[in-house]
Amino acid sequence: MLSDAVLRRLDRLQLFYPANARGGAGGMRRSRALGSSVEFSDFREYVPGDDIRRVDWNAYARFDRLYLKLFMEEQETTLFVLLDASASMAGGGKWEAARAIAEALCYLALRAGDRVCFACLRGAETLESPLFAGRAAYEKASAFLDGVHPAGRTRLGEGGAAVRVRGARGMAVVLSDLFSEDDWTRCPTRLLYARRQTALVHILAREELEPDVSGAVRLADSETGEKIDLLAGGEALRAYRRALAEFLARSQDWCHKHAVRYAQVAADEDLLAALLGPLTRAGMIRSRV
Amino acid sequence: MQFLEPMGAWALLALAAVLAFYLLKRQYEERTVPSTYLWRMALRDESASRPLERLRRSLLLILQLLAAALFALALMRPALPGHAAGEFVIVLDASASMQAADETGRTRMEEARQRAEELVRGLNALDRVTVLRAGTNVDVLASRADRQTAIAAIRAAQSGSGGARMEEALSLARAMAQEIEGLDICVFSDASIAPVEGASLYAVGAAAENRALVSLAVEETASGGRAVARVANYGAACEIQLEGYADGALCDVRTAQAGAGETVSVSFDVPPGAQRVEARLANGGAIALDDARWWQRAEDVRRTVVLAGDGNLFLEAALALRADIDVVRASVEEAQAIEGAQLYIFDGVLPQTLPQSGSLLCVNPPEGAGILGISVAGAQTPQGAVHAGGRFSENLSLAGVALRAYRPLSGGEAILLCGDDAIAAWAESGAQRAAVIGFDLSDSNLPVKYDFPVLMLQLLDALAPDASMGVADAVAGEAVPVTASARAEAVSVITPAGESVSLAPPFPAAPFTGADEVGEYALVETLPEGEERAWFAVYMPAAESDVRAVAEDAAQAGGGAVRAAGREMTVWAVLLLLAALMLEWWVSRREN
Repeated sequence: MLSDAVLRRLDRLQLFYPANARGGAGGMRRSRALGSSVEFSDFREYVPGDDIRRVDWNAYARFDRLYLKLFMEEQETTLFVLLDASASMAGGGKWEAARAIAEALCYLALRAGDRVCFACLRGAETLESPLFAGRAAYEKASAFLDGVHPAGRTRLGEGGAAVRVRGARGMAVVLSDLFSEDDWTRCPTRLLYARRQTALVHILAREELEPDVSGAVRLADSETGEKIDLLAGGEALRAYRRALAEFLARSQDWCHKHAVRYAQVAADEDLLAALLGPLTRAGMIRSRV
Repeated sequence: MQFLEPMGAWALLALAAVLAFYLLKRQYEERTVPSTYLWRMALRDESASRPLERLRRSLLLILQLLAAALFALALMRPALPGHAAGEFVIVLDASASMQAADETGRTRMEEARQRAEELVRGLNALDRVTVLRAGTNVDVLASRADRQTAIAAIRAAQSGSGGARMEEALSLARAMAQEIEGLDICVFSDASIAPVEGASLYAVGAAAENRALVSLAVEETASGGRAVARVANYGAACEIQLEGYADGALCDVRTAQAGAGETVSVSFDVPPGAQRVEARLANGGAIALDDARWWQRAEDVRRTVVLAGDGNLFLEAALALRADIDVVRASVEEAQAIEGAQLYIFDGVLPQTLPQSGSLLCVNPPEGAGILGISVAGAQTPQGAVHAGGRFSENLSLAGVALRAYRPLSGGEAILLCGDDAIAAWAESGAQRAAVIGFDLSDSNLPVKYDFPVLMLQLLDALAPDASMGVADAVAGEAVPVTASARAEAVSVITPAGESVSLAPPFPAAPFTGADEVGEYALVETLPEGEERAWFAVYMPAAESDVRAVAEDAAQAGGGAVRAAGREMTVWAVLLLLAALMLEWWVSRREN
C-alpha cells in the first residue's frame, strides 16, 4: 500500500481521459456526451461504495430506496488495470514498480469516483479482482495486489485477448515488460475493441535497460529456464543496445499508430517521478486545477 | 622473399596456442536474469557456444593471431631478394713477416685481422665470406659463411714461421671467381701482390727495422771452440749485440757495428766440450723468430763393418775413407755369426745364409748366388766397355776401366754395365740393402781409377750412412728429406713442442712436412741396438726478415663495384608486430 505521503502527493493529480469516457454509474468524470453544464440527468440505485453525499434523500423518502442523482456531465468510468504477473516481472523490481503504479492509478480513479478492477495474467491463469468503488475501496484493492505473486510464462497476447474486460467504459492500462513470446499487441487490441482508452506502461528493470555484464556469462531466463552462454564484450553489448532500442521503438510505434498511450518506465524509478514524468507525458496523468 | 632463419617458423606454433586458449571451454559466470528475451534478440540465432562463431566475431583474436604470425615472421628474418647477395674472399697473409710488431707492440697479423673483421662487419647480412689463410699451406678457414662465422675464422687465424703461398691462395680465389659471379677478393698482406682481376690489396704494417741471424758455424779447436755468426742488418746502421750460449749458459757477449743493410760476422768463444751452442741477438728488431741460431755436436757413432774374404787393399783403403767405420775382419763363417753390424762385405765368398739385418756388399760372388733378388750368372769375358748404369754411377767417368772377366748380374738396379750386362747392381728389400759387384776387383783396373773411391764412398753412404750427416737445417714450411739407416726399424721426428711425428715405417721414410715452427728438431731412429738421434734446426725464410718495405693499398684490378645484396626486412616485421600489439591493446580496452 502506498504511504500517506505519497497519497497526499497523489491528491494533486488526476487521471486524464481525453474523450468519450462514458460510463454507466455516477462518477466524478466529466464527459462531453451531454454538454458542458451541470444538469440533472438521471437516477440510479445506490450500491455500496458510492459517495453517500450524492444520495437523493427525496427519492429515499419517496421510494424508501437509496438512489443517486446522475448529472449530465458526471458519468461513471472504470479503470481497468491489466498487470503482467509472469515470472519475468518478478526480477529487477518490475513487479513492485508495476504494482505501485497500479495502486497509484487505482487511488486516483477511486478518488475521482471511478471504479477500478484488476486483471493479473499469471502464466496460464488470470486473477481478476472485484470492482472497487469509492475511496474506501483503495485498501481492498491494495490487499488484492498483495496476494498476487508473479509466476509462470508471459502470454500477454493470448491472455490479454481472452481477458474479461469488466466495468463501464473508461481507461484500460496495461502494465508489462512486453517480454512475451506471443504477440503482445493482441492484448491492447482487445482493450481497444472493448472501446477503452488504452494506455501501456512499459516497465523494464534497470539491468535490462543498462546491462552490467562482462566476460563469459551464462544467463538463465527466470521465466523459461533457458540458458545462453555469452561473451559479453563490447560487440555483444552494442548488439544488445541495438536490440533494446529496436524493441522500444517498435513498441512505441505500434502504440502510436493505434492511439495507445505509451509510457516507458524504469523499475527503479521513483513512483512520483514516473507519474509526473513518463505517465504525464503520455497523457495519462495531469495535475488537478 | 627469402628467410635468413627458416627455423624461426617453429614460432608459428604460437598461433595454435592462441586458438587453443580461445577454443577451450571457458568458466562462465552463472547469472539469472528476469528474461533473456532481449539478449536472444541481440544474438539472434547466433549461439555463443559455437566456437567458430566466437572466432568469427572476435577482432581481438584476429589481432592476437596476427601478432603471433608477425612474431614468427620476425624470427625467420625475412629478406627481399632484390639483388644477388655479395660474395667475398678474404685472404690473410700468414707469413713470418706478419709477426713484425710496430711501436705499440701490435703485429701486422693483428692489424690484418682487425681490418678484415671491420670489412666483414660492414657487409650485408646476406653476403657470404670465404676466409683463406695463406701460410706455408693454404687453409680454408671459412667457406661461403655468414658474417659471424667469418669473423670467428678471422679471429682464429694466426701467422706462421714460414713464407706465404699467396699465389696458391689467389689461384684458389680466382677459381672461385669463375664459378661465382661478382666475387670480390680482399687480400690483407704486408707484401705487394701481382694484379689480379677482382682482387684488392689491403696493405698492413708499417716499415720496420729488423736484424736477423743468418748463419752459425762452430769450429772446434784444441782449446775449445769458436763460433762465427753472420748477422744481417735490415735497417739503419746500428750496433749489433750478440749473446753466445754454450749448453744453455751464457758464455760470451759481443758487439759489432753494422751499416745499413750490411751483413756482418760476429764470433765468440765456446768452452771446450760444449755440446750445444746458441747465438742470440739482444736487439733483434721487429721480428723475434730470426734472432736465434743453434749448433749441436753430432753424436760420435761408429759403424761396424764386417769384412770377410781374402782381402783387397783397395777395398780396405776405400773403407778407411770413412773415419767412423770400424772394420772387423772375419771368415765367412765368423761373419755369419756376427750380429749388429751395419755392413757385411763378402769379397769373393758368400755364406750359406746371408745376414738378415744390416747391409750387404758382395764382391765377386759365386755363380748362381742370389742376393736380395740379384742373380749371378756364369763368368763372361767383356765384350764392350764399362760404363755407368745409372745408380750411384751417374757422376763417374769410368774412362779406361777394363775387366778381365765378370759375372753378369740380373735383377736390381744396374750400377755398372759392361756392354749390356750389369756388372754391378743395387737392390733393396724392406730395410735391407745390397750392392753386388760381379767381378773380382783384382781382375779390373777400376780400383786404381779415381772413380773407385768415389763409387765406394757413395755405396758406403747408402749401405752404412754416416751418423754425422744427420738431417740438414731446413726452412719453415718446407719438406725435410730424411735418409734413414738401413737397419732402422722406425724413424720419427720430435718437434720443438715435444710432439713426435712418425716417418717410418713404412719405409722408405717419408719427408718430414711438419717443419712449421722455428726451433730445434730431433730425428730419432730406432735401431736393433737402441735409438740414435740427429738434430736439425728449422729457421724462418731469410726473405721474411726484411720488413723495411711494405705494400700499399691497391684497388681491385678490373673488378666491378660490389653489388648490393638483398634487404633484410626483419625490422619491418618487428614494427608491424608492435603496431598489431598496440591495436590489440586498444581493441581490448574498447571491448572492456
